[in-house]
Order: sequence, then structure tokens, then C-alpha cells
Amino acid sequence: MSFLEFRFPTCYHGTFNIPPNPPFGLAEALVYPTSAIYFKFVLARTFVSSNPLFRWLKPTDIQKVSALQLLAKDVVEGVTGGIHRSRHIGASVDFKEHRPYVHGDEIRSIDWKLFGKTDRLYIRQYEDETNVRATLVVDQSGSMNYSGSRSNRLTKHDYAIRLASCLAYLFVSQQDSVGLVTFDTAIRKHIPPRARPNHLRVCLETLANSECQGETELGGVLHQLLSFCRKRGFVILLSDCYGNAAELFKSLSMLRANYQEILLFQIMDDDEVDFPFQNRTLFRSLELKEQQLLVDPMSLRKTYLNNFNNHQEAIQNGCRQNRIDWIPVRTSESFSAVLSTYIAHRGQA
Amino acid sequence: MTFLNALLAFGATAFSVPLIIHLLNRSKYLTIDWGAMQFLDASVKVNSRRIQWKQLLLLLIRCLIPVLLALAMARPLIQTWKDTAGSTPMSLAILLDDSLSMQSVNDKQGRIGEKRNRIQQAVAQIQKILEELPAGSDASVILGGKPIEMWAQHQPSELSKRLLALNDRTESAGRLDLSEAARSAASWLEKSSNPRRHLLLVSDFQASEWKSTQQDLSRDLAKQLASRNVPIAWSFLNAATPAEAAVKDAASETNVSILSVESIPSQVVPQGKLTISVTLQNDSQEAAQVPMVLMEGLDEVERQSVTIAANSTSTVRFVWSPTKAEDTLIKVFADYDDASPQDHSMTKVVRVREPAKVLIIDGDRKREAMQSESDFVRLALTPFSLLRGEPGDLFTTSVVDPGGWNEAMLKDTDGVICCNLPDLNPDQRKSLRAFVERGGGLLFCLGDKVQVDKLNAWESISEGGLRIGAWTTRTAWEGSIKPTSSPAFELSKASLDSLSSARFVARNTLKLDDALTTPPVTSIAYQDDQPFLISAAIGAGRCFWMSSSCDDDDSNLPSLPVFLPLVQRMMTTAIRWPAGWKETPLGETWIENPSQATKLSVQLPGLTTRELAIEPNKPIDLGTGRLEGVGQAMAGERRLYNGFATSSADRKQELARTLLAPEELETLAKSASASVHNDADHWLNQERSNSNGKELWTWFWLGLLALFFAEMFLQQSLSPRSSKAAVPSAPSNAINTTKRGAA
Repeated sequence: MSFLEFRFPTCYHGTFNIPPNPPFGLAEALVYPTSAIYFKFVLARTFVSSNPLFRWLKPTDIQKVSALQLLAKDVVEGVTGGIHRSRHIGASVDFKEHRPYVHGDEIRSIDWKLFGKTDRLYIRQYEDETNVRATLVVDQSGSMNYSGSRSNRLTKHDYAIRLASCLAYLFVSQQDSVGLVTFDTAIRKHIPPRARPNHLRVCLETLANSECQGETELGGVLHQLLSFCRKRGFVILLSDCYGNAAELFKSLSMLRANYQEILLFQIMDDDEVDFPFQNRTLFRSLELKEQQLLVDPMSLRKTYLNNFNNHQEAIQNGCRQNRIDWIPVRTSESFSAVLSTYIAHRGQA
Repeated sequence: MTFLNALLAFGATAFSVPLIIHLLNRSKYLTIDWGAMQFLDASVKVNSRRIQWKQLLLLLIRCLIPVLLALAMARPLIQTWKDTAGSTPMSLAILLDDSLSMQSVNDKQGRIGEKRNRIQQAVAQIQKILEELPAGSDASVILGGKPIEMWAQHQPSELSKRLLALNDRTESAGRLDLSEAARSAASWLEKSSNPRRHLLLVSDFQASEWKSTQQDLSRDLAKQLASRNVPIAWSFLNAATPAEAAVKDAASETNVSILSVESIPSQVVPQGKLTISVTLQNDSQEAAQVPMVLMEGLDEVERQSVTIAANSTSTVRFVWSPTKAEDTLIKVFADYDDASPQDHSMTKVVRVREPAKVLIIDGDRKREAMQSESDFVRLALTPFSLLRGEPGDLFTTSVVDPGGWNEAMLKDTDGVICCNLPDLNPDQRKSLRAFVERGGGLLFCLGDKVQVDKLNAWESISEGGLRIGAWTTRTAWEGSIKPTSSPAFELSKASLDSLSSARFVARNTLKLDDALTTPPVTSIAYQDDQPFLISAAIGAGRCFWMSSSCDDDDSNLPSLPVFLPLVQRMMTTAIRWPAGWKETPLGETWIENPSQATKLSVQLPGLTTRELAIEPNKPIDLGTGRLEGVGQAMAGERRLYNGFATSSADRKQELARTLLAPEELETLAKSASASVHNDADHWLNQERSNSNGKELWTWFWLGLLALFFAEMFLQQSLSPRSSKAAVPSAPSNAINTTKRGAA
């Protein structure tokens, strides 16, 4: 069996398996710039992958997202220097404003040149920059386990893992802290945000080992999340958002009030959007095993699509009211392309 | 409710097809593990009842479509739902009695002043009815006299034109065959497409016909017609006027009729003389002077005038000489004006054939006249030519010595008579045996020159020879012929009396061979039961033996009047004539029993030739003549002849002028559940006031159309294409972003 060993100089060193039918060709890998990724071939009789994550995170995707920068729109609270605006004002090159001197200010911060011109004491203030604490909240409820005919057998959960992996890599590569929360009816795993490169491996392993099961309780889970997000930061929610939209936005608004910038990636399958079924079908619920419906899809399609549309509209309105970035995604789309498009769009906004 | 095409109604069972498809589809479904159950569940809650109702409705419509289609094609008819008759098309079968009695002249005067017979009157009434039939109706005419003739599938207008031909029709039909004609009419009406079906019987209702058998028959017919799938109504239209029906006694009318026509003899040769005896009857109270005409085909041959006393019969004799050897139709016609001209003519078919050739081999031929046996035989066979020097004999004869004939002469001969022949050599015996087997007639007359011991040495009939038994030598014997109740050859009484007066003085006796497979037939015997004339069938011919001489040596028979007819009948019987012959009354079926042929080509007078395949030894119906003449059937090269002529026995009965009285006719109609009408107007008024069942197929077709549209509408409302308009736009590009720093 042949395998490839990739080394990522900036973030991760590891060995992973290339599946028998790799999603990218060897020739394609060879032409990548060696400055970003260098690799070597190792031949061995047996190989055990040390990290199943690399089923999801392909070098091509890493290549695509490595050049991106996801900046926080709101000011954030970090512990180290970074690329995001900090709520603290300190020593920096970025001048912010002058303010009149008050008792207690440091003498060294007085702008003496301005005192010479105006004969008044002013303090010169500079903007501080810090890193961001991003939390990836990944839905692993049963409904995320659906894969339609047009999604290349990729379930919504698989898609969410790939997207989360890319985001995690992105944050780590820009020296930000990234954490992970997986949930269904309750929070199943919680990994606090860290900025160390090794932390990425922990997050990705957790993602790779997560399994879809159970119902969704988005509102309750996000309410629980409040206790983990005490400082300003990012909350990136990856879910299909099925469930009660009102409950969802109740919790999201509380998060938002807690100075969290929220990105909502709503992951859907084409079948769920178009409902293309024609023949008589037994629909078995992925969340509740005992729930199943034997229906004629043609006759239900109109009502189904109306219900779905109303739900989407509710989510869109909720996001707009709470100033949440809502990115609806179909599993048939390339997630790296979706990410690039979104970040480009975010930069223009 | 009933159906005009009941068989197609079974197509309604096709409703099970969509039902089965539905049930099969219900048992098949896909299974999908689905995430977005919240939308689906809500949709089912909202729609389940409505969708279920729609689907059940769709299923019902799809089941109803084949049912309605089958019912529409089966053409349902609701009989309790009345509709006016005048607007509904009808099928009318007119059974017209065209028997001989319908040719009686009505009292009504025609437009041009000529008297019209009942057929012409009936045709006028029928034409009136046909003109008034509702649009879309069809009609047929069945001529009910034997043999029945059907004019089916005609438009009323075309049929009306065709009926005019009946006015000048010369063909004569037999008695009314009500049973067969009504069956034909009913079967035609069964195939009809109209819901109203009517059988109209047009007849003069002659008392002799209707009082006896037809009354019961009509009652049975009424039951049969009413029990049909679509009941057939029937009614009577009286072709006779009330004045005619009021005549109770035929004798009160002036009427002259021909009772019979007989020809003597039954066969005649060209230039021969045939006596035709015509018996006439005068049924009136006054003597009648009747000019009588004999016609050969269309040519008048002879005309005589005869005076017939009141209520008496008279006989007229015509002598007719045929010119050609072919079967000829002769017609006797009384040129007399009375109310029943149809009984003024009668036809007869006469067989005219070429004389049969007879070879007489005389063993004791003498020069003196009437000294040889052959002279007596010749005189008996050809009396006209020998005595009067006139043609007309049935036979031509030639006399040869015992050694003066050969095989070639036999080929051109119909019969051979061996008179007083001492012996025959084996070749001659062989030739004669072959001659008889081919159908020739052979007569041995014994005599004093016959060498009995040599005769007894011949081969027996069973051994391929001609010997019938052991003859004794000629001995003296005095006696006479034994009188018998069934004399041979159908001789007349005068001839039989003459035969019994014959006295014999010498004879030969015979002891029959025991080995004979077919016993010989003794036609005439002596007092002591010894055969005088004995015969045996050999092949297709017959061989006769006469145990005494045929001259006046052994008896006085040649001097008796019976001698001539006896010899002629004997030779006529012995000779195998070219074909059989019989005369069949008009309307009767000619049945033959051909023994060998497998195919017959039949032509009856006035009809086209038909080819019939037949089975040997099984009687076959060759058809029924409606026109006088001579029919023929060719069985290979053999001809079967049959003459068709009116039957004198039937004619007397058919022409009885007494008709059913109006009250008798009403009783008959009541028993037959029919109504009686005296003219077309009455029938038309009655039909217009009647009511009939209403046909529903139009409504079924409309319902079917409506179901088709409903099915399409429901199908569209349930199909995904119709709900595609409601599909929301794909949310893939809907990225909702907030402005930086908005918090």
C-alpha cells in the first residue's frame, strides 16, 4: 500500500493516509508549491493512520484557505497580540485619538508637541491589537447524517466537519485561539479555545470522532454555551438549524448580548431544499427511530416547500435582527469555495 | 335496463385494472432516512386528509372510466324511461306474404283505372310507411312465400324503389312460410342498431292458412319475439279490403280455374306427339266460355275455346309435338277475366329426349313379314314409323343376324334384344356383359331355336357372365299370366286386363342359380309362379329374360294391346337413361342423393349457378325454385334435371278466396299480442302514439368525457410539475452579513 506523508510547516506535522481512490491525484499534489506544503513519499508494508481527520481536510482545501484571513468585525478580547482590534488601548503604532490629560495619567503619554502648540495637556492614545477566541459549535444530531443523491454521499455532518476543519486551520494559522463544541440535545464535547498549533490536532480529532445521533436542542445548547463564552469572541455555529427557530434566536440573542460575534453556517442537502421525490416513499426519521411516514411525496411537495421556506425566512429574519452572519450552504457546493466567497463578501461589507 | 350490445357490457369489469395497479403501487415504496422530518410531518398533518380524499377520488374516476366506456359501447336502454316514438329511429322488418292468394285482385281501383291485386296494394301501403319512417331508420323486406327471399339492409328510400319490381313480378311463390320468414326477420332485427324494432306482417290472412296452423304458430312467435334481449314488437297489416273479407262463399263469385295439367306420355321424342290434358273448373253459377292457350315458353302453340257448365269441370286436350330434344316448359293459360287471374295459368315441364337405339339380334330371321321374332319386337318399339311412317317413336331399331354385330356397334346402342338366339360365343357373351355393366339394357327372348344345353353352359351372372339359372327345354304348356295386385312397369288397367287374357302353349322353365348374390326380380309370372319375365341388375344396367318367344308361336301375346306398352316399358326400364327426373312444385326444396360426386354445380331457374360440396349417399338440399323452369345440377359429367312447376294440389287450396273475418283477425291478433291495421296511416298513427325505451349512450359518452377532464385535472393537481411554481429560490447565495463594528 502506498501512502503519502505530508508536513505542514506552519501548523501541523503529521502523517496521514491517502485513500485508495484519493480525492486528488498524485500529479496534482506534485505541482503544488513546495513553499506552502512539502511532502515526501514513504513506502511501508503496513500503515495505520494516526489521525482520521485527514479524511476531511485535504491539502487542496488547506491550500485554498491558507491565504484567507477571517477578521472579527467587533472588537475582541485576546490575551496575546494579533490581527484583531482589541478593546484595550495600549502601545501600538496605530494612533487612535487625543484626549485631555486627567489626574493619574502617565506623564510619558502626554503629547508634548501639542502642548507646545496649544498650551494644553493632551494624552495620545493608540489602538491595541489582539487575537480572537473562536468557538466552533458543530451540530452532531441525527438529522445531520443525511446525504442526498446529489451530494456525492457526503452527509451534512461530514460537510460540517470539513468546514469546521478549514475554519479551525484558518484561525490557528492567523494565531487565533480556536475551541470546539459538539452537541445534539446537549453539549457532548467542549474544547476551550487555544492558539497553539497542537491544539488544532485535538480539535480535528474530536471532530473526526464525532458521531451523529439523537435529536437537536439548539436553543438549550446555545444557552449552555453562554457559560463558556464569557469573553468577547467568535461563535461559529454549523448546523442545519432544524428545530424551533424562535428558541434558536432567543439563545443566539443572548449570546450576541454577551459580546459574541456569531456566524451561522446553515448546512442543507439539495434534497431537503428541492424535495424532488416522486414515488411513494417511507421517510424514516434520522433523529427519532420510531418516527416514520409513508407518503406520496408529489402530493406533499408544495406544502413541504412552503414549510421549509417559512422556516428559512424565519432564520433569515432572526439573523438580520440579531446581526448574525447567516451563510446557508448546500452539501453539493465546495466548502472551501463557500468559505472563500463568504470571507470575500465579509471583507466588502 | 337492457343493453343493445350486451356482450360489450362485460367490459365494465375492466374497472379492476386501475384498482389492481393502485393496490400494486401501494405495496411498493422507497425507504429514505430523512432529516427534515419537522417539515414533512407538518405537511402530512395539513394535507393528509385532503390528499387522501383526492387520491381516492382519482382512483374512483380511473375505475369509472372503463366502466362508462364499456357501458356506452354496450348501448344501455332504459325501457321504463319513455321517449316519444316519432323522434326515435327504428328498424322495421316487413314480412310480406307473397303467396299465390296475394295475387287476387282487390276491389279498389288503381289510379289509372286498372284493378290492383293484393300485392300491388300492399306495396303501395308499405311504400307509404317507408316514406314516413323517422330519420336514421332502416328497413328490410322478407318475402314470406316459399322459398322466402330477404331484401335486407336497405335504406327505406331504396327499398321503396325496389318494391316496385313486385308489381310486375311473374315469379310465383309457394305457401306462406311464417315460421322461417319470422325467424329471418328476427335475426335481422337482432343485428340492428336501433332500439326500436318492429316486425310488420303484411298478408291477406287467408282463412284456410290462418285458421289452422298459423294461429298457434303466431302465438309461439309472439312469445319468441317478446323474449328477445331487445323485445321486438309486431303487428299485422291487412292487405285485403274489408269487402273482400266479407265474402264468405267462394261460389258466389265468378271464377274459372285450372285444376290440373297432365301430359301423356311422360316422355316424348322430337316430332313425337304429346297429349296435354287440362282440367278446368267453373265455380260460378253460370256457364263460362273460356279460351284456352297452350304456350311453349313465350310462344303460343295452340288456342282452343271450351264451354264449361256452371259448377262443373271440363277437360281440354292439346296435342303438342316438340321440335328439339330438350326439357321444355309448357304453360296452359285460360284467357278469361275474373277476380282471380292467378289461377288461370299452370305450367308443366316435359321431358323431350332423343329416341333410344335398340339393336335386335334375331336367331331365326325370315324374309317374310311378321314371321320373325324381330318383326314383332320392332313393331312394338317403333309403331309410328312402321305403321304410319311418322316420327315420334321412343326407340329406333336395327336388326342383325347372330354373327352380324360386333363390339363397336354396341357402343352406339342403348339396348339389345336377343330373339330366339341359339347360342353366343364367349367373346359375344363378354361383350354383352360389358355392355350391360355400362348401363345398357338387354332382353333375352327364348324360342324354339335356343339350344338350352349350351345356354346352361354359359358363365353365371355371379361369375361375370349372363346366365341367370338352369333353363329346361321348351315344352308345351297351356296356361296364362298370374294376376297380381302390383303389376310391373306401371301398366294401365286396360293393359293389365289385356295381359291377363294372354294364353300360352309353350314355354321354358327356369331353376335359379343358388350362387346369385342379388336375387333376380320376377316382374311377371305364370299361373304356377314360374317366371314369365325375370330380370337381374348387372352393373349399371339390367338384363331381362322372357321365358317364351316374342312372336305368336308360343302365345297370343303379340296380338294383345298390352304387347306394345309392355315391350316399350320393359326397354325403358332396362335402359339406363342419362339422368334422373322429377317435377318439384314451386317453393319446395329439390333434394338429390348423388352417390359418387363430391361437387355439384347447381342452377335453378332464375337463379345464378351455385357450387356445392356434397357427401356421398347423403341427401343434399339443392335449393328451392321460385320460377318455373328446368333446373340442372352437374355432378361431374352427369346431369340431374329437375322441373319446377306449380303444384295443382296446393293451388286449389291456396286460391280459396275466403279470408279471415275482421273479428276473427282481431282474435288472432289478440292471441298473438299484435295489433291489426287496415292501412298504412293507421299503423303510422299507432306507432307515433306508442312509446319506447330511451337509449342512454349519449349521456354515458358525455360522462366519460367529463371523467377524462376530471382525471386530468386531479392528476395535474397532484403532480410535482404543478407544485413547482411554489418552489422557493435556492438559498445557496443568500449570505446575510452584518457590518463591521456594528456591535
